[in-house]
Amino acid sequence: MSLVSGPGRGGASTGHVPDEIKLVVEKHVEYIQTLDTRQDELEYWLTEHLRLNGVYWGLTALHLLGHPEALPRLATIDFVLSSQHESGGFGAAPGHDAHMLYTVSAVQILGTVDALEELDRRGKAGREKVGQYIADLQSQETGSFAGDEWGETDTRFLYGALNALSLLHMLHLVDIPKAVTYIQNCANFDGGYGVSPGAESHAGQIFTCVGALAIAGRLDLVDRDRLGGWLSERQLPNGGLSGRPEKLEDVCYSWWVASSLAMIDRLHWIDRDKLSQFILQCQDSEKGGIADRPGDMVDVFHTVFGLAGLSLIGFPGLVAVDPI
Amino acid sequence: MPSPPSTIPNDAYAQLIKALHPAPPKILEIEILPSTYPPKILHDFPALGVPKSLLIPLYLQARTTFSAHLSSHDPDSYHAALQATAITLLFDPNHLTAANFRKRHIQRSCGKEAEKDRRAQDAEKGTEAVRRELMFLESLVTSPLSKHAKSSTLWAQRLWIVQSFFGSAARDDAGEETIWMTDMGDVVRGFWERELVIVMKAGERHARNYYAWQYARRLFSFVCSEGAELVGRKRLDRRSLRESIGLVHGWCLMHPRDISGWAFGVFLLEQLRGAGDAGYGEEDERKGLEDDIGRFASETKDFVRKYQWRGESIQWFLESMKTLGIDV
Repeated sequence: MSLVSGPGRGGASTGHVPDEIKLVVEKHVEYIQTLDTRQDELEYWLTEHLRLNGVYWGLTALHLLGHPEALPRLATIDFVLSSQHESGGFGAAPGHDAHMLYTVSAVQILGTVDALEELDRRGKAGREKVGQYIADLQSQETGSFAGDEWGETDTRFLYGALNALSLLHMLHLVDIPKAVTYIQNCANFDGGYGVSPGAESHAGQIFTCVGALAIAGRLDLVDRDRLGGWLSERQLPNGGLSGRPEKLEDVCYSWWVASSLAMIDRLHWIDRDKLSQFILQCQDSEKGGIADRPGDMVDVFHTVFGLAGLSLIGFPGLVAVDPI
Repeated sequence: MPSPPSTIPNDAYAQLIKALHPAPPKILEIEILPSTYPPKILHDFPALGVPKSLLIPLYLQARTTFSAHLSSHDPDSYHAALQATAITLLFDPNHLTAANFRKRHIQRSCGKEAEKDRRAQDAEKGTEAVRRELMFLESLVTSPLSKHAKSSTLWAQRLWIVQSFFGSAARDDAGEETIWMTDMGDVVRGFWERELVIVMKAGERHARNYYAWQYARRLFSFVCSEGAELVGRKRLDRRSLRESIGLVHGWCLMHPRDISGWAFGVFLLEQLRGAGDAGYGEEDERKGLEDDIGRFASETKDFVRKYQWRGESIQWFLESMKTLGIDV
């Protein structure tokens, strides 16, 4: 799947925004399908090192749009398995180094298309080994997770690990209480969470920390009012959400911020109508796809998170999404 | 597996490789130029401009060279593959496999022995590889390349090198003899200050640069703990800490909407406060630390008053001062 941006642009169709913008479901489905067929294009090769993530984003978007069959299931499974290493981990594409991020995408994709058992049937490593690859990346000392053997630590990897292990039914392989303690250490006075203890609050990291706590069944540890306050401050006058103070709105935060609010039962703390208007304005209603903000080029990453945000706030016509 | 199409201008690949590997190593200011520029590399040291329309086919050639080596493991193609990773990371800083290849190369150059046990000439080769990589990374994160300045892959690479080869990383380009004559405390202090400047530059290339300032936090903690162990217990002294705080505060007041700068300022103040609480030094030194913290807060408050400033970042900063028990 090509991950390049374009060719469409958000809010591009007529140059003015009609009063009643619709979600152009069919256009988005076509957009994602064509990404998969752009192999002859130069651009297919330019994003190879993110491909597995891209497949996950495209596939999830199609499921949200109610068209799960729109990508070829067997070819998708084949591609995922071809990216696996003997260690159990997955790279972004065949020939690329294994890393937590791609391993998580692999598990999510196979889980989505009901093909986790293919790992045992014809993977280079079975489910057990995949789970072990992930679990081995946990620090025995701090409870945090590295992305790979080189040691970069980031709460994204912790969340990814718990997410993937829960899909594999292998959460018992890791030290959950220690991971929870680590997350607590990442909590800041403003109610938010950062990438590691003492780091700046960031909506993306908040999503990973709160999501991990949700999976661990420890949402009781969250200061819901304070965090809800910080998150709701991210809504800008145009209805869009940003990730941090004084940053621009970006459609992907429709997911990171909104699902965090949903997990702590404070989704009503933002103006959902304004948010959905904003997301719809980021669509290219002719060529499909969603951009980070109106006027910019569309891409599959912003498409899936824009759709997920719309689904979460109950926009009609989309499959319901679980905040975690 | 299908191969990408490629149309390469004749010696452009060699030109770009040469430009990205200056000898002796230097910091470059690299720009990716719009495709409207003719497909020619513009090179006027330290500036290097590569039109996007040229970079794309050059990246594809680099990709082919790199992939071929990864498949064949042919030692004869190793050097070309290594050079190809430089173009790869210029094209996309988040190309993990290319970054990992470069880390492995540094490991090979530095050998398996601990830094202190290596023979002098091997140590030299290892130190050279470390310094070259640090300069390459510095070029990428301080150039007008917005995506590179904030890349978690590049900052993680820098941190890994510093943590793994602190001795080699901390030395500046002074000659071998000078290193042994220099007080290690000065070496550590100088290193920290240079790194902080790199972070600030990256913070200007990409505002609210999360991973650059995160690197600064991690580096600071490392230098004060393990870094200190490695270089004979010389840690950052309070003078250096106070100077850093002054530098960061100045930066924040020039970039008042930059939450990441302010957040790092808070981090440093917390460290300073921690140093005071730990009973560090004489009574008047501790008082000096408290005065510094108070001044940071009060000067910021003055800024707000003077400019009727209403940005959320400074508000957040003043809130966090309250958590440090500072009355604003």
